[in-house]
Amino acid sequence: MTYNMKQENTKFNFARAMEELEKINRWFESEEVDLEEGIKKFDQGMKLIDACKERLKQVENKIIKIKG
Amino acid sequence: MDLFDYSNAFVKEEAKNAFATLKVLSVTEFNQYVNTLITIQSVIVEGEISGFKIAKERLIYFDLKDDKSIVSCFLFKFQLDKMGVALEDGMKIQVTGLPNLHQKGRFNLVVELVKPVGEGSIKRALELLKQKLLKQGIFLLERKRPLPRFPENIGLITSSDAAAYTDFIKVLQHRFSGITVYFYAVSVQGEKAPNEISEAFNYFNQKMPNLDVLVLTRGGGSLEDLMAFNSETVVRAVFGSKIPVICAVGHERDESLSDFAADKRASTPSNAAEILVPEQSEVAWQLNKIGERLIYQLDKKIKILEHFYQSLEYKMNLWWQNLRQKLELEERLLKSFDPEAILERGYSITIIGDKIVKNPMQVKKGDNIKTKLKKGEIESIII
Repeated sequence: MTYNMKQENTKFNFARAMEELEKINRWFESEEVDLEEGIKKFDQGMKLIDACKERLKQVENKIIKIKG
Repeated sequence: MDLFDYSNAFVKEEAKNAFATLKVLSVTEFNQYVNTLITIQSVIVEGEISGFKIAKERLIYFDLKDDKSIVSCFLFKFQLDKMGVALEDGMKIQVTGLPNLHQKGRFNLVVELVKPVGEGSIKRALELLKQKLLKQGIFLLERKRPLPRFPENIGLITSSDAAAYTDFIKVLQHRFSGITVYFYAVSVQGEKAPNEISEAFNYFNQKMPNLDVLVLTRGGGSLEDLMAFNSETVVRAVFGSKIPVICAVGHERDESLSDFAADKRASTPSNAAEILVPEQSEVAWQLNKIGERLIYQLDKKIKILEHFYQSLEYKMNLWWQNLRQKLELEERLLKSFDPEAILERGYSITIIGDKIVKNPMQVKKGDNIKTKLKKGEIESIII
């Protein structure tokens, strides 16, 4: 077998990061004002954005032949 | 086998002999002999169906006819179900089968394979199958699952030499990268296609259940070329997949039953890639927007807090001023009552014991009284 699904799955998950970012944005839109938590969420959001941008720098798609 | 050997010997050695030398056969032997002659290999016969009937829910009989002739056909219902072909009278079909003379003297074609021919028949067979699958809930919209927004691991099922493969990979690469495509090559037309496609679905579902999505695709072709995607085998494989499926068969206007069984239908292989992944530049733009929004949000939160503290400070000042004003007022009022202030103005206070004398009745002859002045006191005795 020429692939390793486990390895593929443990790497950064773009979809999950985007979901997390949207969640953070929604949190900020809520009424409560908690600056300490806000700064924490902000840092987390910025880190996720960086990670997503890093992920977007990949230029190739990989093709693995199972059969044929 | 005995009979076969015997018949061969009969044909080769005795056929040319005189009638007198012919062996006398029993009826059973005759029928068996005829069968050895006619069941040598399968034949394909094309004709129109008439008298189609299902007996005891498991045996199927029909006649195949053309302008002049007619032949009876027989097969089991499970065979037809497995082929995923629905038949009815008037349909033009090709039957692959073995000629057979029954013991009771009835001659028929024992059907191995049935294939509708001509666009009318193919479409009719398709319609019948569609109705059957529809009743089984295979095309229900409620069971369609959403496709992942950013699939990273895709299972691709198509032919390796098809333009579909190239188109899909090209558009995918053009739009988004960092994706791993697991490619399982199958035949996309011909007799082998349905089983191969079904095997591919089994493989992915069993061996790689964590894939984000499966793509089943092929390019355009004639209705007959696309038949594999209308076969019950493939439709059921699509329907049964635990991994969500996007199906793209043929050109824009081609529709297959697999399309309807899939979670999402794409019009072409390129369209499948477009539906599956967003444009990378668009995502980058979105990310920037999200970043800007985050900064704005945090800034807003800080401003709200600043405003809150400012207003708190203002309110406290106001409260303090009020308090101070009140205090001053009280003080002034209090001061106005200060007895010292009265003495200041030249008044005096007369005290007997610890009481202020406000009435001459309070004192009598001989009492000691004290008179308080601005400065000092005078002690007196009442006479």
